[in-house]
Amino acid sequence: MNVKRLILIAMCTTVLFVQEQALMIIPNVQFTTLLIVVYASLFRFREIVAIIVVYVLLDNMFMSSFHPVYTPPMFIAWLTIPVVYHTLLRKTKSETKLAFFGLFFGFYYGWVFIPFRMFEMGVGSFWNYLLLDIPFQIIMAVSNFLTILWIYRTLYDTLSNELVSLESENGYGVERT
Amino acid sequence: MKKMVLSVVVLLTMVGAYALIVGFSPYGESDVEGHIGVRVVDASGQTVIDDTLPFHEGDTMFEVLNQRYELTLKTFASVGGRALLGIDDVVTDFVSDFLYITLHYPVRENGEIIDYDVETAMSGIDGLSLRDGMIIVFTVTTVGGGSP
Repeated sequence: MNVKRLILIAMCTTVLFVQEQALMIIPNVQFTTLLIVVYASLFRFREIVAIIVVYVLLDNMFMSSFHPVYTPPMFIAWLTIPVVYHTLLRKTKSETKLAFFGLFFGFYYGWVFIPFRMFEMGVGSFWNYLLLDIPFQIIMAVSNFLTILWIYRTLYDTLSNELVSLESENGYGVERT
Repeated sequence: MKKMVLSVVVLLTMVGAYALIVGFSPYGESDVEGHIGVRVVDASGQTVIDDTLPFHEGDTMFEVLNQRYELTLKTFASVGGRALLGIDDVVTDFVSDFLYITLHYPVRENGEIIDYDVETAMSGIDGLSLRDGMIIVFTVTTVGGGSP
């Protein structure tokens, strides 16, 4: 990996982290899913995994939320995006398919936390937790769906053009459709 | 045009799903009648309120308490929720202390209460459901002091 690409990945991670902190005032409304989907479309698998690992560590450090109940499910949930993108979604660039994936991911993200919260709150709290979390899952699902549907294509085209021009001298490239 | 239609359809579906889920949620209005016990324990450990309150079909825990006591609440506009800070003269600041809520559910044998299952409340006042015979205990707890 050359320095330019490394810097680009670091900048993308910074954008990911900063936008989430900036939008913290509105619960579950963020561009994180959109950006991770765009990054998964642009970068190699190991690169997007590195972005997610750094982002989750940074987020937990900043929010003082390093805890077995919060950190592992965050890793699992966010890493699901590149895994699904490279397998079930077959590297699709269709914003409609990706938007529906984002819609599902809004709910999935909440569900991943449930088994971990059971350790803390007890099995008896399952339905209570599930029901009380649904409004927040719906907000995230709608937010994911709308941002991916409306912004993904523009963002992907812009970033991939930048990436192509940046990497062309070095023999690197991105997959274009 | 396709995107606009999709956006509207998904938005309406999600709003409908939310309304449906909230409608079926057991954490809202009661569908039975009964009584609950209410106890409030202040910072010194003294029980300052020990009442039995009736509830009717359609009541919520918040309504039952609000009809009898002066409640101090803190609203969280960003998440649309509220926290119970105080009941009558027992008021916490939600920073250095708070009301620790425990729910005591009756265990019955031949209709008689023989014991109580004690659970820590997993949600705020709006997420608690009414059950006949239950006792809800509010204990002033200092942050860092652990469970009472």
